[in-house]
Amino acid sequence: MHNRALLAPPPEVIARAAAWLVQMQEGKLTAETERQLQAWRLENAEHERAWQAAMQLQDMMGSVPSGLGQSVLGRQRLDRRQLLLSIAVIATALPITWVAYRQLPMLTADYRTATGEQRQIILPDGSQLRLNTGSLVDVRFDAQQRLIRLHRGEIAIQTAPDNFIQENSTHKRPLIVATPVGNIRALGTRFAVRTLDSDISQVEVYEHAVALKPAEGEIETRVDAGKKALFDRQKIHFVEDHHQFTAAWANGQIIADNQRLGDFIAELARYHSGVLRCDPAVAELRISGVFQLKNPLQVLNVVAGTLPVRISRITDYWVTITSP
Amino acid sequence: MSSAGLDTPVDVQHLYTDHHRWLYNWLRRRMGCSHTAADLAQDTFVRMLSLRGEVAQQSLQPLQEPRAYLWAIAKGLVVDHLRRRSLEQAYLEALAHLPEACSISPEEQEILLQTLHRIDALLDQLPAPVRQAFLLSQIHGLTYTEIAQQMNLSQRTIKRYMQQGFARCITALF
Repeated sequence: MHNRALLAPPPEVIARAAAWLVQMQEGKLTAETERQLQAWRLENAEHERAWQAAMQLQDMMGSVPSGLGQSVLGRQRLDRRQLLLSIAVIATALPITWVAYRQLPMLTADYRTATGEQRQIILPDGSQLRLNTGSLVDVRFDAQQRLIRLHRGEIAIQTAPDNFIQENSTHKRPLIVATPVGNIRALGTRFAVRTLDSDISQVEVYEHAVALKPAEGEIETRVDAGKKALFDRQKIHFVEDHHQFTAAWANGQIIADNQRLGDFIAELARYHSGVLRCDPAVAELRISGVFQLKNPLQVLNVVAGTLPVRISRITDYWVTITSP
Repeated sequence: MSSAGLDTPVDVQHLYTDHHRWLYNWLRRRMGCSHTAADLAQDTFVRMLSLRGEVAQQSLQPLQEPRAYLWAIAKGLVVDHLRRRSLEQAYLEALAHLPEACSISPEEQEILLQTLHRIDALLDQLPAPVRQAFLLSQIHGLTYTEIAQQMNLSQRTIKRYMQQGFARCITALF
């Protein structure tokens, strides 16, 4: 494949090339450092060779589509050392007592976010889990299933195809989101789940579909992309078509489309640590727009600029929206 | 360079008849497939001969432990094989999940697969945390600050990881 006669440049040269790359990626390459880089490359043929390889690496990485690369390269990989070790055990000692080799893409972990905080987590199978404000989940991956238990709050999931390797064969473990009132099984998909209160949860599907089963229900019901469903322990209630490709909050936004101000404020309150209350006198006003979630209090200023309301800020912790 | 250090054809013949059977049987048990086992056994001998060729230019040591030596090579090939296979499976699934609009031609698919194999082999030699940082940066396109947050590490550490990852990958390209 490669020419072994052509040896790599010395390690210190390669380290320097790598440092240049890091600097480049940080966006810290000013005109001055760029000149230094040029000078470094010209200084020595080995420098230039290392740099060419660095560029080749960049091109290679750049040629991979991000989504596809994420699920393929980010898949749960075999631990080389562990695998070699397991092969060794089997071959030397125990041909009959088969010491089952088990690759362990297993995980037991709890994740939580504070009010106003969001977090993204890459799970061991490459699936992406995003936690919205005030959420608590625990993740249990074992040989049978990939279980994400949502205790409270809201999560968005982009599933990755599972390649769980056990005793030399791969099989696919279902990915399940368990809410207090029912389970959602992913069917290769993107979706978001939210616990509205202890009795009702909600699922919104953006891509493909999920199978939804209320805790006391008999069967799974398919929820397709573009659908949103509420469910309790017994039944499912399809709410509306949402026409969204992704959860707005995952992009740091909150979107209102002719929404009651009261509902909008309740939604915004999730991201505000403290009391955020809407006076019933103005709750029926309607609001539309796309707002940035980063600073909920700033959103209120925008609201005050467009609607006939007044923001009474007792402290940042205690804010109410009233009629002027 | 003379070929004096290489195994003579007779040696190779012996080696093959003495060792092919157990190697093949072991591989078949391991892989659960006689075709793959036959291929890997073949590759093991080919690899051994080419390595011997290189080693022979430096020292004329005869092969002391042919069995251990073959076995060490075979293990490496098995691991590579499993890695390639898991990558191909993940790749096919990822392709199947692509929206219609992003469909890519069979030629492009093949080129992409080869590229992925190369990158995957590079990533495989990185320590897990370095690999994770590297993936998040190079494939997910996150900034170092975002990676630091996600991995719950300092930005300094991420920079160190990235530099280490780049250096290893660059070296492997030669």
